[in-house]
Amino acid sequence: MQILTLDNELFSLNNLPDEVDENTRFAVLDNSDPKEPDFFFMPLVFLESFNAPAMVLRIGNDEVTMPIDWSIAVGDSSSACDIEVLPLTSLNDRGFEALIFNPLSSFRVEFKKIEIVNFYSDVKWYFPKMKNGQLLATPLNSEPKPNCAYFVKEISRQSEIIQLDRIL
Amino acid sequence: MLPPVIIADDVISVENQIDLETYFTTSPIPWNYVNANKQYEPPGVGAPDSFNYKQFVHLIYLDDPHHVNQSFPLFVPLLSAIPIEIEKLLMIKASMTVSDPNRPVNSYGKAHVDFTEPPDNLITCVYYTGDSDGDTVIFSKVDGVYTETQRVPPKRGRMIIFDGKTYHAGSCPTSSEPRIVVNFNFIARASNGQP
Repeated sequence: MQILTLDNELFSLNNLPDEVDENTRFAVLDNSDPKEPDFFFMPLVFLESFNAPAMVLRIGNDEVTMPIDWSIAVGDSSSACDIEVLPLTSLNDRGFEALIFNPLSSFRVEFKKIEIVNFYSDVKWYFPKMKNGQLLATPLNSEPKPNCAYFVKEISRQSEIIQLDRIL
Repeated sequence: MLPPVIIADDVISVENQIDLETYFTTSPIPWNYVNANKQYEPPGVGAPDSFNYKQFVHLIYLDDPHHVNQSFPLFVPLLSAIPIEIEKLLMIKASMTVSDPNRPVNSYGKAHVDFTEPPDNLITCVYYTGDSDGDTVIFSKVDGVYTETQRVPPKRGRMIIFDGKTYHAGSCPTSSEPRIVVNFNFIARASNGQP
């Protein structure tokens, strides 16, 4: 799993160094109050670990590997609708597009096609502890100012819709 | 030690069962025709009651050459329901056999294993997407002779699991409903032992 730091770079949690800079922060889209969704950079204090199968997703031209039981923020490029948080297991070729936005450098929201390209039966994951209603900004590549998609392990029903016009 | 054939009913929620049945019976998905008897030459084994039936196949996942159908997420609940740890997923495919009211009673297709050279710890699972009457027939091999040992009737929500080296055969249904199964092949983690 990978996070977006304040330096606007990808930081991989799969190959952690012995020591992590205590000032490291990671980007989240906080929708715990659906009337006031916003981006925050949270301190990287606690990491959780678990084993789970994984799906490799191709989002636009990038590939990202995520646990199969997580959810992704999706929308529709052809309409300015709200963003919906959908389990990866519900994608099923239904034409959803991933919400793409870099909270530090993007000027506008993009939506990119999601394609499932592979499956791994057992992957060890590390991910940062997040509050309910927060979605992890996940960089899609290691380039500077990477595009980010948004994932969450569990989301409450109250915050599964993100009102796009309230973010921007 | 696992029993030779594990039979489990309602392995996924009724909602998931309906989703899968609906996907296969109402969605415009590609079905590729295969002659089931020719498909399994040379591993296929002729038996007195074998019957030449026609089958359609829809590939969902193949490890080599790599292929992932975008319907893959629909099958994740089934993968999760398999009570054996998966080391490597090799294939998921669906097979549809349309009914033939004239097929001989108790006949079945050619006994086969799903791989010409089944790797160690290969496990085969068959999930039935709907109720039908085309039994899955399991065979034992003793001194080169294949003997029918078990019949499992299709039932929506039912999954059977067995060693991938076990010879088995599908049957053509006689009722109006086609027999649609999802077939999983994977290598189990060695710690699970052989079924």
